[in-house]
Amino acid sequence: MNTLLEFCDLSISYPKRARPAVDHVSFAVPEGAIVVVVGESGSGKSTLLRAALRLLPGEGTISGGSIRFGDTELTALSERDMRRLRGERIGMIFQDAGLYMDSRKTIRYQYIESIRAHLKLSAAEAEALARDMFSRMALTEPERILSAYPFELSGGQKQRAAIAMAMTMKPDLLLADEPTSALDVTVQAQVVRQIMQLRAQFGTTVLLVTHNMGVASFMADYIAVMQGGRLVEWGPKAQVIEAPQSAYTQKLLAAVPELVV
Amino acid sequence: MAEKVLLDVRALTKSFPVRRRQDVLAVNQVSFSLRAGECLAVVGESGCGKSTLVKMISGILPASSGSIVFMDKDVTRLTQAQWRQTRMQMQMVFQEPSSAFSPRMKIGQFLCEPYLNYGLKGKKAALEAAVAQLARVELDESYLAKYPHQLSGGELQRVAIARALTLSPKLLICDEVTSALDVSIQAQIIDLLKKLQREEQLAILFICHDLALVQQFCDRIMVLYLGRQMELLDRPDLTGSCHPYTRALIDSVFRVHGENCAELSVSAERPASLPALGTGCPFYERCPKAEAACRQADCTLRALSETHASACRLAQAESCPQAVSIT
Repeated sequence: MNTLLEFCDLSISYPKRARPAVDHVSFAVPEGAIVVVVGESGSGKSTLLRAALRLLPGEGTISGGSIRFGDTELTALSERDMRRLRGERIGMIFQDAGLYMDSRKTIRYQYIESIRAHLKLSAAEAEALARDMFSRMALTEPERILSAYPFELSGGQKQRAAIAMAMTMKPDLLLADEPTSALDVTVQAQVVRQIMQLRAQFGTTVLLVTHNMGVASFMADYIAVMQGGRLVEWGPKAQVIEAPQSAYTQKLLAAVPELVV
Repeated sequence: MAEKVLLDVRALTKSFPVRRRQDVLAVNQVSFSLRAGECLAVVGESGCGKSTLVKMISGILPASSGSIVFMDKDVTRLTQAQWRQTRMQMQMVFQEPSSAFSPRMKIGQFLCEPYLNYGLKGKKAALEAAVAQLARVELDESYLAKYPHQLSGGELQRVAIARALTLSPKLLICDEVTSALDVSIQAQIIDLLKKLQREEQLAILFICHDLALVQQFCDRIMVLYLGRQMELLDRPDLTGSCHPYTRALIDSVFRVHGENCAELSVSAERPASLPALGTGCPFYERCPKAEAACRQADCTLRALSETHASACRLAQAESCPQAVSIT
């Protein structure tokens, strides 16, 4: 399998902090795979994901190493080229879709705006594309969702609309930062399965960050375990879950309560 | 069970007016009891009424109807002064530890406050007692001089538990106490609560959305959906559960090891508004087993055996565990 995204010896630091947020991390995301990064708060997992978008919060900077996306070196790309990549070839979804939606604009307005940022389409054509995406994602009531303001939708509906938006440009890579953590369990179960279907439907490669070991175990082809900015374990899911090598992974897995039914 | 009933909730209801002649029943005819030293889990998704239930029991919100008998007193009829005395016996710990503390008070001040507040101890004695409180939650006395921002989420939650237990209450209400914490810290907090429960005969009302955690920790499980009781299990054993909603919750859990449910039986979205159903089943629209009659029939909680009650009208006493297959 070809590598789609590769972190090589990547380090990210913040000026006022002694320890780097991400410390010499290397791993490769194979094309068409679902790679899940797990770790506890402060492990640097979200920072790593944001670095691939070059959207580091605050004064964070890439202090060493490289991020290769296909043939492109992301760390050396101009902001202008990066902007073209984001949304078009690299899609993204975050924990709370409501936070990055404009609460004063309908979903229709925001969806059409996001499509027209990348494609020269009329508003009517863009809306047709939006509806087509909704039906592919099996979102019921497209009319109600398009006409709704974000506050009128449930968390699950917002997240599913956000996934539809992110997938409209058929990106090669979808980056997802805790996409189901804020959702109710029955909704989470549905959204997780939906993200997994993206690969079958569009051939999308997924890099997902979560703290939920159960979700990681269910979704992943490969799992990366991070602790304090370092990559402590990397491997195919079966190996990481069933035969973890690092003491930290073992401890993490042992702490997860398992449902017995 | 030999232990005395500590908390007895009967037909507790809370309605909020939303529009003219239309109320939302956030908690609808909920009844249960809790004995000393027992841990009851309240499980459900957002909007199920678990927080409203806690607020009514702790006197933060007045109940619309029904009764809450705590230590042989109906707390829905207490005066402010009587509540002040009752609160010594009933304490709460909440989800977000950082918002439960004033950023300008030291941990020592927090822990002394209950003693000084009730005039039980002088300043010096209170401070000595605070050290003992910290030891109880496995923290040393260096924490007395620290401010909340100097502590991690797990440490703060320990202090919150220590403060709640300062006056040796009989009942501890834990509202999603581990949801904001990392999984390894969560395990520590649960171990701590288990230890305290065992040592001090503490009754715990444990509000949580994580079925696996609940199963590991609690003696009994109550499942709520849209303000109504769906199921009440007198064992932490979920194999006996038969309500389709409980089964849907179980199917939704992602297991680290072992098989996950391949096909989900319920739709993800719950109805946008609470259906005006009377006693009909609130899960009707999402239920894979629903029959037309479920909409109107009396779907209030009924006992199937001594240790199990379900609100599903299709549940049969004897065939229950097999009534709904897992996948």
